[in-house]
Amino acid sequence: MKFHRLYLQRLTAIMALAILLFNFPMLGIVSDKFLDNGWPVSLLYLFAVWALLILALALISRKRRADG
Amino acid sequence: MVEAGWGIALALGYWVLLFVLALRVERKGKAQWLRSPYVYALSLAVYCSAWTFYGSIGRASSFGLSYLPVYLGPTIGAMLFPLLLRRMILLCKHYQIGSLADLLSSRYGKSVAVGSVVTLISLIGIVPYISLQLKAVSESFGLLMLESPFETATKPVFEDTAFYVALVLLAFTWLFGTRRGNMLEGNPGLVSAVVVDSAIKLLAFLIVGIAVTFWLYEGPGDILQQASARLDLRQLFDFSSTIRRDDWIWISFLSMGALFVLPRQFQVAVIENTQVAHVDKALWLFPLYLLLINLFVTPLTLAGIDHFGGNNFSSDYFILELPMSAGYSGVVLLVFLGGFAAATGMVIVETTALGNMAANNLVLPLLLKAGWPGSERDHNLSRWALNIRRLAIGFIIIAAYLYYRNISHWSSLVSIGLISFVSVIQFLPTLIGGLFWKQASRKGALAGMLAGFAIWTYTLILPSLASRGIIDAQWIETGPWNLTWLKPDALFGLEGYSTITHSVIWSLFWNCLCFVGFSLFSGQSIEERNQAKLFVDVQDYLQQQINPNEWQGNAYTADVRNLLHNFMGVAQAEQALKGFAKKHALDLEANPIADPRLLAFAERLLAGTLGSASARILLQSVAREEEFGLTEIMGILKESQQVIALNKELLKKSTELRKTRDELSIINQRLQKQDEVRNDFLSTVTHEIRTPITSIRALSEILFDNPDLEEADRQQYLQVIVRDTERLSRLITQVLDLERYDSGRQKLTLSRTYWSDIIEDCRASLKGLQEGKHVTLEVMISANLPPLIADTDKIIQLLINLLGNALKFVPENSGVIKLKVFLQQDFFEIRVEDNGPGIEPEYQQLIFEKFYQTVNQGLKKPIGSGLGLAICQRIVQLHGGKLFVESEPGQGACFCFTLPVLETVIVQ
Repeated sequence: MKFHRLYLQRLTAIMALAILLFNFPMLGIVSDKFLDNGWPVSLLYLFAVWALLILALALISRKRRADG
Repeated sequence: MVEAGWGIALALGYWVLLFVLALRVERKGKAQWLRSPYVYALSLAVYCSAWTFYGSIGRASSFGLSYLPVYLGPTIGAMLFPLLLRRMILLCKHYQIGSLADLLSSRYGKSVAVGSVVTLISLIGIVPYISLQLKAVSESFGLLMLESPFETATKPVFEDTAFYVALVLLAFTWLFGTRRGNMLEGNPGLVSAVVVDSAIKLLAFLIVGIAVTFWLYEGPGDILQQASARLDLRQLFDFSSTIRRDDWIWISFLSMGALFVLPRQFQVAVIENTQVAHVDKALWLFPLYLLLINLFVTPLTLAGIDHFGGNNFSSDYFILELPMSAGYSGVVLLVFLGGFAAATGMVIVETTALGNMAANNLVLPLLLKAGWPGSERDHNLSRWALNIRRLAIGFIIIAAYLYYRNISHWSSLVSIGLISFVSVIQFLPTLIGGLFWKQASRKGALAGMLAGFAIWTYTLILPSLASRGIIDAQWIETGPWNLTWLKPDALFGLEGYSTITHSVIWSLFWNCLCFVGFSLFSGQSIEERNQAKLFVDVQDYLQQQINPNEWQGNAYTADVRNLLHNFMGVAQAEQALKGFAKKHALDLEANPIADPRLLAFAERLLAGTLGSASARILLQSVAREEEFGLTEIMGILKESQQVIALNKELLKKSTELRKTRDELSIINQRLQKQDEVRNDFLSTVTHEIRTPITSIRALSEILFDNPDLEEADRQQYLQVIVRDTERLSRLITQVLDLERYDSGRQKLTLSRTYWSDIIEDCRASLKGLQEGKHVTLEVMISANLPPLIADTDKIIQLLINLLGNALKFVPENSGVIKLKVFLQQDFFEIRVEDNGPGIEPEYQQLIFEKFYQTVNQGLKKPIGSGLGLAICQRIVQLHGGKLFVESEPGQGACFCFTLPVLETVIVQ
């Protein structure tokens, strides 16, 4: 039960982070910016954050099973 | 045209594959591979419909990132799986709930109204969404045939691909979505098809992405360069307009909520779930799927813009046009198949879910309430229920097809999808509130959902009707009755938002307001309260393995058995009953009246197939449920009132007891103190008596032993003996006096005298002493004093004592004693003032104690027993007055006492 609660806390934290990162003003930072070779920073940012969040979720879910 | 022929062949082949697969799964019974978390995650991907498959790119071509909120929202939503989805699964498995409408209906007191409202809103909101899938399939097929979308839409019915697609999907849904009566048993055949669909659409998207990016172009950098030559990319990738910002946030939120309330999501995530633990893996697998299917949206969009320019073509189909223009036939067919699979999966799951809802929460309860199937119950109810479900599915698909034929070409793929989302999001407050808030009530749920739905209709549907000229467009532009604050696209003056965001904001605002408001300010029925407890505290009930949902009332076992026979067939019913009787160690034959547990069991059996509201209605027909009537409630209230009264009485008694105990302990303390005082008194008295006796005895012995003592000495000794004897006798008299006063045996002999007489007596008694010491005694008596009614002797004794004391203390020759008697309101005040040394403040209380003077040897004192003042005080007290002293050291002392003025009458 203890681990279970910790798991929920971790998820809540990741969720709060996701809400912050996928929102303004964070998106305002990357808006209308391009790398030298023309890549839009906003697109790269969104997909990078997305992938990292999924990775974090996978780790949390795996850790939960390892913990019990 | 070659491709079109291949397309038809491929589509048919794919369908045959799905049919065979689903049949095999159903025949085989338990298919192990379907019980894996990966399969569960893939089935959740039914979220990505044909709308996603084609529409994302269409959306991205106007604003490069605008397709993302629809996937980022569910990514965040997936993080709520262990909290929200897990609970929903537990509830549905435990309480035999088969759809979202059933869940909400059951939560709000097994309400038919709640279930019907949820079903109706879903039907109205989602049928267009299903028709959207038909449209996507038929348009994509039209593209293979090199038709324009307009040509596709205006073909006669029997040449229309969508018609045949609809027919095949209907057949599939009938075959695999309505196989079992009990919805909770799931539909593995259906799930296997959905899983294949999800895999194919992802694969198709990835392959076309790779093909276009790396074969047609030299990687994403190349696409970027080519596209930027044609179009200013800045406008595609910045958030500078507030509409884009607000849409981003609100559509993310909308999609996140839709993940939990879309009927098809509910079907795959909750009903078809095989293991609760799968949600923990799905929470990252599902977002991963979403990420992968979106990976190539931007490259494909840019490539499409590069190839076909800004908005020349319907940008929704870039994904198909690109490989076609490049001549990649295989890829074209794969894309077509992907879109086809996306539509297939979505339609079969959505119609299964909607069919369940329509049958169990709309048609059946209404039929049952209307008395169907009558008193004669020889129908097989579960077969009836299934047929109604099939009928409902048929109607839904036909309605979707009609919508597609007549209306859907008005708008693009994207807008219809989002409009559907806004309609189902109206269930979100009711769902979340129902799961976590016990106070959430049926009235609140109905008011909230209806208010939200009304706003949805007003802000999204009316404008689209007006744009087609069905209703007066003028009315939309100026607001009804020219009230601009009622304009459907700027309700209450809210402007500067897209129509979807505008509608989400207002519909959810009014929805939540009504839901919370009605829940807080209107009551819940007992049934509702029961269900609220079961849902919100589901963990407790799961752990205790109890079903508190016992029936109040009675039915005959035979009736219940009969009902089950009709419902599930004799053999199956008997088997279920046998299992039940064994589990609870009940003999069903023994008691003609059904056990409450049997009723609850029967209700659960029925609910799995018919929905909770219908099951309730059916059982009520045999079980004459004793609703908590007014009399029962009054009885309960009365009982609790009596208990409260009893409690109050107990409380009062215990307070009284405590008070008595406190009093007793005070008395006890007083007794102990008195005991102490008595001991002190005894020891003091003994001491006081021994001193004179010792001196008497010593002197007497001297006299006895020395007969030839000189006359002068003998005289002196005898004088001492006499004085000490007097002292002794005085002491004994006083001790006896005091004892009389303290024991209350001293009685007063009241008589009527005048102050002048009393004072005269005192003066006479003290004259010798006074003159011997040359002390002046001044007497001041007020004129016209009423006569004194008192024990004259005692008053004289008292005055002599006080005056005597004063005499002892005043200096010789210059001593002055003043005796004042006057009237104070209704009592006499008598003051004896002297000009002696006075009394220290700390001793002013002590001097009234017995033997005080003698105990405190340090005090300068003339001879006295130390009982004088104690006796004085008792005399005054017995007369109802007070004795006190006022003094400052060096200023003399004043002993005062008061006596009440009594009426003469009393004496007679």
